[in-house]
Amino acid sequence: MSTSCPKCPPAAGMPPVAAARQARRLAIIGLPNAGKSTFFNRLTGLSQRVGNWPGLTVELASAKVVLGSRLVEVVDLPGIHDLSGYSEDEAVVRNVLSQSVFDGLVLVVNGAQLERHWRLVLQLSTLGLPLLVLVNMHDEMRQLGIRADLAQLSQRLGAPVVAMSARKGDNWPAVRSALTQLAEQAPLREHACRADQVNVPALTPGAVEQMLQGAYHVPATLPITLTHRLDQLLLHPWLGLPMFAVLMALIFQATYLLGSPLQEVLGSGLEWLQATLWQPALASAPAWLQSLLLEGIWQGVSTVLTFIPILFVFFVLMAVVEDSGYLARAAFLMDASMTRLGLDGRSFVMHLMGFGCNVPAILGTRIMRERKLRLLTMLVIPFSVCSARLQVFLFFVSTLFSAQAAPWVLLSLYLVSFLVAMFTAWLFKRALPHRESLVMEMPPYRLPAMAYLFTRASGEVKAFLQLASTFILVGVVLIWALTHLPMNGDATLATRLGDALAPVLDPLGIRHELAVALMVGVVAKEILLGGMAVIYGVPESGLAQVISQQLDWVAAYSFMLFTLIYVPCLSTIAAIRKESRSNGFAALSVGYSLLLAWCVAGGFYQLAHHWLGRA
Amino acid sequence: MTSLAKLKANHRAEVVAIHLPTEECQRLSAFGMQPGAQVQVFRRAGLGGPLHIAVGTTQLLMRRLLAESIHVQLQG
Repeated sequence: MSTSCPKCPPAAGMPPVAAARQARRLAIIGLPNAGKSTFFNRLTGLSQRVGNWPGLTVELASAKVVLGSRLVEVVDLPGIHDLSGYSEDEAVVRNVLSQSVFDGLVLVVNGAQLERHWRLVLQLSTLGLPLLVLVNMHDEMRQLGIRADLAQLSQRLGAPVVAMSARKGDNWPAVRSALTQLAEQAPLREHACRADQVNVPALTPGAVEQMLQGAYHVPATLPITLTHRLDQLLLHPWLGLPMFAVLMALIFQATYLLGSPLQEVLGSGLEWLQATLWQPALASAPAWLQSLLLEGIWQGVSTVLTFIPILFVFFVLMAVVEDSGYLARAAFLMDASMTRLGLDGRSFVMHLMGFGCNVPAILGTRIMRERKLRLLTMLVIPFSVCSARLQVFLFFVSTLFSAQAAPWVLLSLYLVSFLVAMFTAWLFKRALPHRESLVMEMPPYRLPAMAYLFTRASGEVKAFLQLASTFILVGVVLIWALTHLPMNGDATLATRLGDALAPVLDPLGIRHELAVALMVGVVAKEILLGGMAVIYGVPESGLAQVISQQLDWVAAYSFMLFTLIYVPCLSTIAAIRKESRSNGFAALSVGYSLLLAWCVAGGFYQLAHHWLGRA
Repeated sequence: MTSLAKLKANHRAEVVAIHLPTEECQRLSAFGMQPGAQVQVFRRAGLGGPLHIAVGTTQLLMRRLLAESIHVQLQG
């Protein structure tokens, strides 16, 4: 086989002959919003896995499913408009198709927009791979009065064309049997190799219309749908924006109402595990090992694990917003104001999400195609006050300010958060210019497929943990070493570093102990207060008293400004690194936020002292 | 003949020409936006924001800057 096809690279690092005997492999392709992912989720359920595609730096979701008597690997490719297009995703699809062996292509098209989707069908039919076309949104076609003669189309195309509704599961048995037939076809490795040359011939003008002629009929005037009526309300010139704000507030609230209790339960479960399992198990181990494993690794890792419930809830809610079609509306509403900052409507949605937790907001930037726009958005998101930072602020504000002043101090921090984000976007928009010709589909409102929200959210959480795990482990070990070594009673590395940093942090009014707390806060803001308790040598409950004796409000506000602006947590850095696929960019994000934090906190402290000193 | 950016809400028109580089034209045609296509503007966002338009059965969000390069012929 390998000799008959020298151009054909082996599949996934296997020798070609072994690859041929392996499971068949099908690729799912379609336009964005065609319902490709819904179909993939329905077909594969929880068995899907997101991983690096061999030989390419892209991550693709794939799963093994049993079709008939065969185990078939199904790979979900990114949504594309045009096989010969210039976008990043389109290049990815061409690369994957040309460098890997597939036994067949499954095309998911939107039946209500067949003229637009059929071009991709024709393009892919030139590759010579066995095809199956799934005409999705059959329910919407009926509502709009669109008729299609699929048998006729199938004959003209020379490949099976099957109707379905991936969301509702209509016609599912027929879809499965068509998939089985596609997988059952004799090994077509020679055919598979044809995809090696993905140079798509230009379609003759009118080819799409010619094939659809007489077999596809759209009424001249479309009926007024529910989407029209909802848009009149949700995109109302005056009411649209306030309703958007309320909706976002609801999502933000719901993430916490649902996620926080779960987080607490998980947190106490992990503490119980530590007390009943790890501590007795390690009782006879040397003190340094106990400390490293419990106070270092376990403490850090369990802190990250407690993020899971909030991440999960957030992903479910985001999937609802995305699947329902509202995200495109939010972009429509916010686009004009965000353009002036070099961002776009979708960036704003993600920035708001960051007020819950920065990590999923960073991962959420995936909905943007333009890389530079994504990078700019990723630079801005870490300045959203996440719930962990809010917890730190609440502690300081209630300890050091009067009950009357406290809410205003808190509000001022949120204001600073917005100003810093706007400043950052303004500062970097020239460095990250992107083409502003935004055009995106506004899909009709759809009820999300509830059963698959769970599948999708757990997939996202799993993918995050896979990547973050090593990164976070290294981070917590490093910080443990800083705060615990040397163990002979001399000043720890952190203390020495605190002393060394004194010239840098003294102008900000940040004392040595707090400097070490800031270092701990790099891991996660959740452990900042606990870390401070350790540093001051008091239980967490006695911390308020110590702080109110040691700090005046100016120094405390400076510390809060620094906490607001500098690195949110290791998880966020890990997410930025994962999504930007660049260590340099992650380093830039960290470096810039540290510098900005220093400037803002220092500026505030010096001005306040100057002013108060004179008064 | 006028540009799509100037088309009033709820008016229908036919695309006559698109004055953009080939690459852009190709991207637009993937959304169904090509000469001969029937378009309708549903609404325009405030503050110079994007347009909400329909091309055939597909609804799009499109920045005004882009719509200015699309020439249309008003229909009844």
